[in-house]
Amino acid sequence: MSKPAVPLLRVKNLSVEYRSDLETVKAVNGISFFLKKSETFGLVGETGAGKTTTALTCMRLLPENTGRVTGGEIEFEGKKLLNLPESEMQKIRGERMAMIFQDPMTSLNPVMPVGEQIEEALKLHNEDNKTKDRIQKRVDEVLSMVGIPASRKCEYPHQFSGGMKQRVVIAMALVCEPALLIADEPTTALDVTIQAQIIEMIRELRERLGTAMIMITHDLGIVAQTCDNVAVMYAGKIIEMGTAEDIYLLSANHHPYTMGLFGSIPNLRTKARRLTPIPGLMPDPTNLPEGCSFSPRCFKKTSVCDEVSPGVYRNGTHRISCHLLKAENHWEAERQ
Amino acid sequence: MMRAELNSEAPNTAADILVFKKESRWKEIWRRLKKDRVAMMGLVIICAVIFLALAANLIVPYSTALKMNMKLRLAPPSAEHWFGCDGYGRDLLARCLHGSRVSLLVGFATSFATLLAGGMLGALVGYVGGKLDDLVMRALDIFSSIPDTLFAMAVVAAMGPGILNICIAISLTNIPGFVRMVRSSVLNIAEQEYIEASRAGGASVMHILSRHVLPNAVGTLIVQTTANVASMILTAATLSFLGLGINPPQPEWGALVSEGKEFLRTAPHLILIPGFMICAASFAMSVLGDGLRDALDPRLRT
Amino acid sequence: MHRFILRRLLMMIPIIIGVSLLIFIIIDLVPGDPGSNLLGPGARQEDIDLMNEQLGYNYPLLQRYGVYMYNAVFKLDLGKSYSTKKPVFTEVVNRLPVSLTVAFNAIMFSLVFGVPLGVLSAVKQNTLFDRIPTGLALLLASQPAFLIGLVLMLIFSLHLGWFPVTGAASWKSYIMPMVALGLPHGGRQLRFTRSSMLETIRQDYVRTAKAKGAPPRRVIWKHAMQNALLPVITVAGNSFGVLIGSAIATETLFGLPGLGTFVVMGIKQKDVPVVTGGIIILAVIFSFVILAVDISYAFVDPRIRAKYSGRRG
Repeated sequence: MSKPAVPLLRVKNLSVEYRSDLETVKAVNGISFFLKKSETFGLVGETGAGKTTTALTCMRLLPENTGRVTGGEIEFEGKKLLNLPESEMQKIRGERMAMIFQDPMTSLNPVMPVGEQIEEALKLHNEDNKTKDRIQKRVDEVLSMVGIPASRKCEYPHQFSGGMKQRVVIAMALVCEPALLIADEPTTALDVTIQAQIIEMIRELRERLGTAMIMITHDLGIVAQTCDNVAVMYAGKIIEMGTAEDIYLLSANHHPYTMGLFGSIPNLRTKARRLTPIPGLMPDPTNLPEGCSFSPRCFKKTSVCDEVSPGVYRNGTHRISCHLLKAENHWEAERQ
Repeated sequence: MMRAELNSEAPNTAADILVFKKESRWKEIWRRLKKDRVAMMGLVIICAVIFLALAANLIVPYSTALKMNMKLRLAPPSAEHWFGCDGYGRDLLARCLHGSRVSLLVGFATSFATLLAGGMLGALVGYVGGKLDDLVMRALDIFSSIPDTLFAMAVVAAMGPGILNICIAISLTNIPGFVRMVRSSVLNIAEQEYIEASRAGGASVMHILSRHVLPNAVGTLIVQTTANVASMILTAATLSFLGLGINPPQPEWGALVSEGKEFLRTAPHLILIPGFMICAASFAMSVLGDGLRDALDPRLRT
Repeated sequence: MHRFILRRLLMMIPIIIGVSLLIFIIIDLVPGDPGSNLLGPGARQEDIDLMNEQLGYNYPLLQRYGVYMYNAVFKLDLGKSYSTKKPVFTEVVNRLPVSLTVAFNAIMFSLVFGVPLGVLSAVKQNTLFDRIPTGLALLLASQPAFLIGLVLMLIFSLHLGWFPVTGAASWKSYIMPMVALGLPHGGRQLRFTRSSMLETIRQDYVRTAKAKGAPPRRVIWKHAMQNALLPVITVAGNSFGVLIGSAIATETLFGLPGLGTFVVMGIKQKDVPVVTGGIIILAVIFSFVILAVDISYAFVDPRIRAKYSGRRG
């Protein structure tokens, strides 16, 4: 693979901590990835792996009192986001980069009609002085795009079901036609049938509008349906990354954690009697183990795993951070 | 060897674990509270005031607080009379010290009465629910439609002034709010799944209330009671200021301020000193309450 | 919306009956009878008995209550004061404007500094902009209003001579009561606004607004404030009761001819009609304030509006 042209988003060696008086949580520990225009990038991992923190850092929406970027950089459309003044960042948020949050029940303002909430994004980024009528037309348009009749725009969030609310959130994120959409577990809070509808809709809209997307999820099925490239996160690190084929090709080499993830999904086709869950829990992010963070739970662990943090090994587009790959053919160590 | 020792100390029954957890919970709360310098300041002030009130008789006898001496009328603070003397030449220090006994007694006694009566009633109606709940809550709606001080004034008007009557009046006015608070936290807890589980396991109402509901509501109760002491000290002072509190010449902070207001121009220390004591006690209890709230639920802070 | 207000007004009736009955019963415990109180110490027992008979004092409590309320509601008659022999109702009507002015001014004053400073300290949590206002607020809330009043009196009337000490001669007389009442009340208001705001700015929808690119000022005043106001309104309404209590002391201190002074004097002189009438009127006013709060809730929160105005929103 040759080096990509100019990526839309490039995250390099990003580290983020949450600090309070009592403890320091190392949420993200030196992750790097990039994303080209119109590409979908999946970020997979358990709760607490640092996926949402990564997304919030890209939007510069970390909680002000506690969240702190301790290293690395984020480049978006050629701008170094972490050094940008807040006023510049406001122009990017909503206009060039938008986010869909996990829980539609709480992410809409309960005392504002939904139409007004969508309209707000347009008004905030109204550089070309659209008239009121044009703005209203655009709101109607985007509402019907997500399958809500425009006549409901004067209603309040409490009058919508969960799935409908998420549609409103999506409409709000897409109304300014951003270059990058970050979807943070957009369907976790919804019923399974609604989940499928929403995912299908996001995929369709993405293709139609050509928006690049970061899809954050713990659902490997969603990743397979939607993503071009995938990164698997564990304890604030990317432990495996590649194209969707790389990750889903069962015969290829994988990180033991990724194998564990696949083992945790019921599969009707294979004849396995029972699921094979990954034993144990994620390590305490205030006190990460030395060496490989996954070693306490790893079934292929060797003595070196407890002492040395593994480097990244690469085979074409496929990258894995595990000591096991050292011995494999076709895999070469990547310079950090 | 080490291993054996560890094992012998490890909790081995469910009851042990419960005790172990309880102890560490209170220790943890105390550790957090100790870190809160403002709350500790409140604790020190209130302890000092309580100590002075308890030791009042050892410092100056009660008779000094009542002894008039017209020669010393409105005397400013001096080496002999640290706080000066009032309109009848009575030593203000003695009156303040003995007055604090009444003020603190009213503040704490009413808070505990409210805690007991309100807590029990609230827990009961919250847990039992149904018609009893409806009836009690409607009755409380009526009670709480009368402003606190006004209700206390009516009770004092009917029963006459005096410490016991003030205590009854103030407690009565505060019980409705307390019942509501306890009731809603009981309702909150009763919805939790572990209560459901306990009930499914055949536990009795009393068992669930005392074992699960109360321990979980205890934090709110402590915080509210601490804050109540602060506000009841103020209510008591207001009643006495209006002349509806204790019977003169018995000293009480609010009454001292009221007595002093005639001499506002010539002897402002007569109102400033007892006034300062009211504020100090109420402020100390308030910051202590805030600190306790933060220590009990550290999530609220960040 | 009209239906909702009408229903809430109807719900007031049992509350007002309950409140007045409760007060009536409590005050009935005051020793003495109206006849001997009205006729004074030198009166003959026959005259006292006759007077009591005429006033209906010999009937059972509930019946007397019924007559009292009937007269109050339909004849605007709350009886005559024992000490001044004047009708209580006229006295109440004359004094009501004074009390309402004092209370209204104090509430406005407390909101004007309590709410903005509360928002400021929540937004700047754990900085000096938070610590100083909250510390000050707690200090103010720990003061009885009469004490602040006395200190103000000492400084501004006695030393500087800017305001009259007592009386209600001009607008100047209302300034110090307003500040004395408003400062502690504003301190409480500040604390509630702060905690409500802290809760609100952590909500997901506030983050959504930021993600849209809304500038901080808009996020706070438009998105957070409207939601944070709900509990603040409740507290403002409920603490009106506390305010009435301190207002009584403040009125007495500044010698304002309001309802508070009236009731306090009544209690001291064991003037039963004055006390009953005064307290019942104040309690009814308080109930209406709570009602107003409930209704204003519906204006701010569409969820509550929807709940009250039938099935459709």
